[in-house]
Amino acid sequence: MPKRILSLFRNLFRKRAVEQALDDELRSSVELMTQEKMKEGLSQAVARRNALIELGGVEQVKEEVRDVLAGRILEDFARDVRFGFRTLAKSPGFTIIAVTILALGVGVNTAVFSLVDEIWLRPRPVPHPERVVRIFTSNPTSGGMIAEGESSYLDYYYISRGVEALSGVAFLQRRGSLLRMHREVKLLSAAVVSDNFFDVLEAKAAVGRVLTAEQAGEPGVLAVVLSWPFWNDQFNADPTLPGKTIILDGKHVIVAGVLSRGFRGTDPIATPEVWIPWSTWSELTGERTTLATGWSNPSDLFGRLRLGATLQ
Amino acid sequence: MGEKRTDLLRGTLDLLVLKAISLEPLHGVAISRRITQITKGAFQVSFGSLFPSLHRMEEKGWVEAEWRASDNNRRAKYYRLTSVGRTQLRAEERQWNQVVKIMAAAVQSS
Repeated sequence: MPKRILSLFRNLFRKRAVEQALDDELRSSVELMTQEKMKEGLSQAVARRNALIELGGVEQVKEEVRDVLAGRILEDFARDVRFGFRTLAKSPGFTIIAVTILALGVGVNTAVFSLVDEIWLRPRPVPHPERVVRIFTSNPTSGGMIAEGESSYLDYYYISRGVEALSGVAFLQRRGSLLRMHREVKLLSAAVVSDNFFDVLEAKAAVGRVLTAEQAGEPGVLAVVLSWPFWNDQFNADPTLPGKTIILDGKHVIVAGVLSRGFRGTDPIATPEVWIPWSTWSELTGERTTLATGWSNPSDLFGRLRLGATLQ
Repeated sequence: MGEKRTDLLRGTLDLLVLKAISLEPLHGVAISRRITQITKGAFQVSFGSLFPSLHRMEEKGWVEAEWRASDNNRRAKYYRLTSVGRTQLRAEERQWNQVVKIMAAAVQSS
């Protein structure tokens, strides 16, 4: 074993030395044969020429020997691989643990990188993401700390009317909605959003259209927008779906369109399946908002900075 | 150099080379001459086969090489049988004798 490794290293890393030794050997062979032939009475020139002919070409012989050495390295490598597998097979416990640890290590790294890539490295898939801001507010229960996604209706009411730097303020609440399809009922993760949500984020549709604030707020119209992955999985990416109705919470609701593939709203980890404008949500559930009652769920607030406005 | 050339099976060549250096260490040219001699001129080993064979067996540890002065004071690389090589030689001799016996019996039977 050590000898094999030594010779492997000699062949790999001392290739020039091996070449040199081979060269010396062949040269000395030619000289020996030349002398031999000179003893038989040939002149040195003729003897040397005959010796070279008998050797059969220095380069050809070298090539043949190199093939042996190269083949040797490959054989050794194949044998080392086989040896490795045999050793691993002999101690399955160790193998399982080692492979599991490696798999976990690689998996965790991949997962973390995907997350970092999605959250920090890739810009949000909306136009001019640098002007979209997320608004955090503090409230009495958060003890003066800034609570993420815990804004009240009053916060929304005053910020959307009072902050000059923002061209629009939208809210998002995470809710659930029941989809009935083929006699099956499925709970969807829903984002209940302000009617102007798609205007503020300037979201684009992959199929159909997204809802503007006027369209969403039109009385008597129940319309929603789907996420691309949900449309792809649940409706097999049916391009004729926009304009048709689905049954949400027991009522027929028009699918206005499907958001562009990369759109995940503002939370890259959990993408809602369906986006329901507040007007539609009110019609579906009877939930109303007044300044006195507020809304039952805290909300995430987003705003779009006006051109020229900065966060300062 | 003889015109008559008999193709050698690789294993046969290794056996002949081991046999050639079994008595004393020899350099490449001398091994070639010795093989011609012990096969009574039947086999002319080309150097294109002999040197690869020697290097292969050196890698396997059957032979060891050493540089030293030749009879007429030239430096030459001498090959010597190792103990592994000697065992190998005996094994190959046995195997060869068996093959010869079997082949002879097979040829005579028909």
